[in-house]
Amino acid sequence: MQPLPPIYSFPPLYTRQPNSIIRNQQLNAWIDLILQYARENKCWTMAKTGTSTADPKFNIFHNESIQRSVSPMFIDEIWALMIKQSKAIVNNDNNNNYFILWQNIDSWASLILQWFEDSNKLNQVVTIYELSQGDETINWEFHQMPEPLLILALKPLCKRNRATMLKDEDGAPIAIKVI
Amino acid sequence: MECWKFIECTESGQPILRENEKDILMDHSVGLYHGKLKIVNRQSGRVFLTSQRIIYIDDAKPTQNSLALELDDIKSIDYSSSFLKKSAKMIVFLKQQEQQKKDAKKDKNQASLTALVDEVTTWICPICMVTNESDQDLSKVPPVCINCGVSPDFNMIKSSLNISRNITSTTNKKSKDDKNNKEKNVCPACTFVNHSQIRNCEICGTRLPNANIRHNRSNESFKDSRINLILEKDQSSSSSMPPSVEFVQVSFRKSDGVLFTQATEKTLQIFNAKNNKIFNQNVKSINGVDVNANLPLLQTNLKKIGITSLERSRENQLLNNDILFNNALSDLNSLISLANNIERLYRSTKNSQQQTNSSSHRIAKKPALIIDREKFYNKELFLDEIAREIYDFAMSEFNETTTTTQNENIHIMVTLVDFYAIYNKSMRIGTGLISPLEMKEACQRFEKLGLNNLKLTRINNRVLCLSTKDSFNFVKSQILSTIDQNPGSDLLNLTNLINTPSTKTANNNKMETNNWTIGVIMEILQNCVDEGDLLIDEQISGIYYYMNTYWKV
Repeated sequence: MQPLPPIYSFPPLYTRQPNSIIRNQQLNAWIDLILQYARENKCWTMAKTGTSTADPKFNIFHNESIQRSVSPMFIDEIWALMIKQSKAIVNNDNNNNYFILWQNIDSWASLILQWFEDSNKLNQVVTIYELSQGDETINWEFHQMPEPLLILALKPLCKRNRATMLKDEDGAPIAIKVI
Repeated sequence: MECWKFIECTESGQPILRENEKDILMDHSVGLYHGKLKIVNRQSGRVFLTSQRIIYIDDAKPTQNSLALELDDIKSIDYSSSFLKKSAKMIVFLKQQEQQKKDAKKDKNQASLTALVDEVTTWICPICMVTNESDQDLSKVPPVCINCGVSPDFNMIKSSLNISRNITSTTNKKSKDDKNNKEKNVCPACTFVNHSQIRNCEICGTRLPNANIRHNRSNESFKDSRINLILEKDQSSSSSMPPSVEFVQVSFRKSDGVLFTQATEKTLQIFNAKNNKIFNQNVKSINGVDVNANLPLLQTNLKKIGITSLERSRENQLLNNDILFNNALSDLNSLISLANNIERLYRSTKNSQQQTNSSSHRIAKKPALIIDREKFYNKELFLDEIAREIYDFAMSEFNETTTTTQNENIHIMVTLVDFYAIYNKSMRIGTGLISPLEMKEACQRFEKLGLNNLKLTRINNRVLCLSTKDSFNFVKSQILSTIDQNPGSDLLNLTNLINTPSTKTANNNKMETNNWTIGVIMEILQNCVDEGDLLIDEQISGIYYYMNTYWKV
């Protein structure tokens, strides 16, 4: 695991600052920290409490080395702001989880489009599973992206009429064809 | 003009009284007249009546233009009420001037007797055996005993005459006179040797003997440069001293002055009565022991014979022993209690000396002015006076603790609540506590009264503080630098750090200890946090403070 920046060991970071201007910067510092952690560790989802789904032993809101942790109220505030800034999305399958978007949905969409173009998959049907788990995407950043998130990332392509979603009998998308 | 004395007063315009001197009444908006002429620059001030003086404190320049009149110098007073534009006046007739005139006349008459002027004659009254003093030729002017008022025949007192050369000998430098203690102006109460022109002992404030005579002698040569009186419509218009007059006047601009005049009259009576009183004159007993009591005489004559007489003598002996023992025991008791007192006194002074170890000369001046509500005509005046006292108290109290060298660098900051408690505890006990509201109102008057060093400020829009001008920023910068050096300090730790002498000043051989109260520091920390200079780390164990290094405001 990559070490986090020095601000992570700064005790006041863990207390909600009373000054609102300072607090906004503090919240942004937290968001940056979470995004950095998620990017470096491929942590696609994170529990509400801050534990990473990739590494259940790690809780970003709890710093063992300086014995500090963020109060639940302040954690809620951080998540609320992250969702407002579209840096996190509530996982509809599990309400206690958030998808962390270190890139926004549109960037993911164009990255996926680029993959389709680079690997000559245009006009072919590619399953969602293939996209996320297949060997061909292994060097791409969206590899191992959780399927619900991937579907969200593909939606802008459908909207731009660049792709068609293929759905199973329940109406859940299973594959995509990019034109 | 000799009647006017310079009086020292505090920066805030409160007179510094002598020991044993008590203030009785004050009035405001008064002007002074010398004779019939106004004295320039002394037309707007407050006047205090004390048990020894009448003190005028100028409103504009209290430290320079204040004057005092000794009650001693006053022969009588009169009152003239206000009439049309003329304001009420208290006319003070002076004793001294008259005497001087006499002296002057006598000098003319008896030019040959100038040698006598240097001498004081003491004689003992043949009736009451009181030692009188006189500076006159007794053979020509029959003296009057100060105690019984009887003028004795010169022949009767001839034997007790004792002429001592004692006043101007300091200038004559006659070494043999040095043996004479009187000339050195020794205080009869505490034996302190005062300057020959001083009238009240510097140490204990006791009126010195021979004061009037000595003073009359020497005051021609002595001129207090601090008194600078200029009369309005001064005909001579030169800088020479204005002529002596028989009376001076105190003009009451706002009030009618009746009360003040009456009080002065009363004080004068008491003062004169007291001066003639002999201490312990009619004392019967001291500490319950009769002064003149003789030991009960026991019959020891053994007129009876036989066994009865032997029994009787035995009983007498036992009784005698009893009495002796009782006396011895009571003497011992009083001795021990005396010893205890001395020990206590010694200890207390030792303690206080330890407290003010190096700065013993900085012992806080205790203004003897007693500000009693009843002395004031209305609440405004009372608050004004309270404000002055508070100002003085704060300045002297906190100057001592913050031993900063330069005067302008004194930083005072104390919450009004703390200060209210300190002030009431140390100044108002016995004279009636003041209410918090009065305290606040008094503090708001500082600016109006021209007391600019202290002002009432509100920190964080909630806590009222009494502070000097830039002390807030001073303490704030101190706190910030301390936190910069010691990140993660909590309030207590920080208070300790700030109040311990810093190494920088220790190098200058000056121990600089601060005494910032925790309340003030807390408020300033709050202010720093609100302004984003500091960050907090709130834990169960307390709040820790850090410099804001990551997030700029």
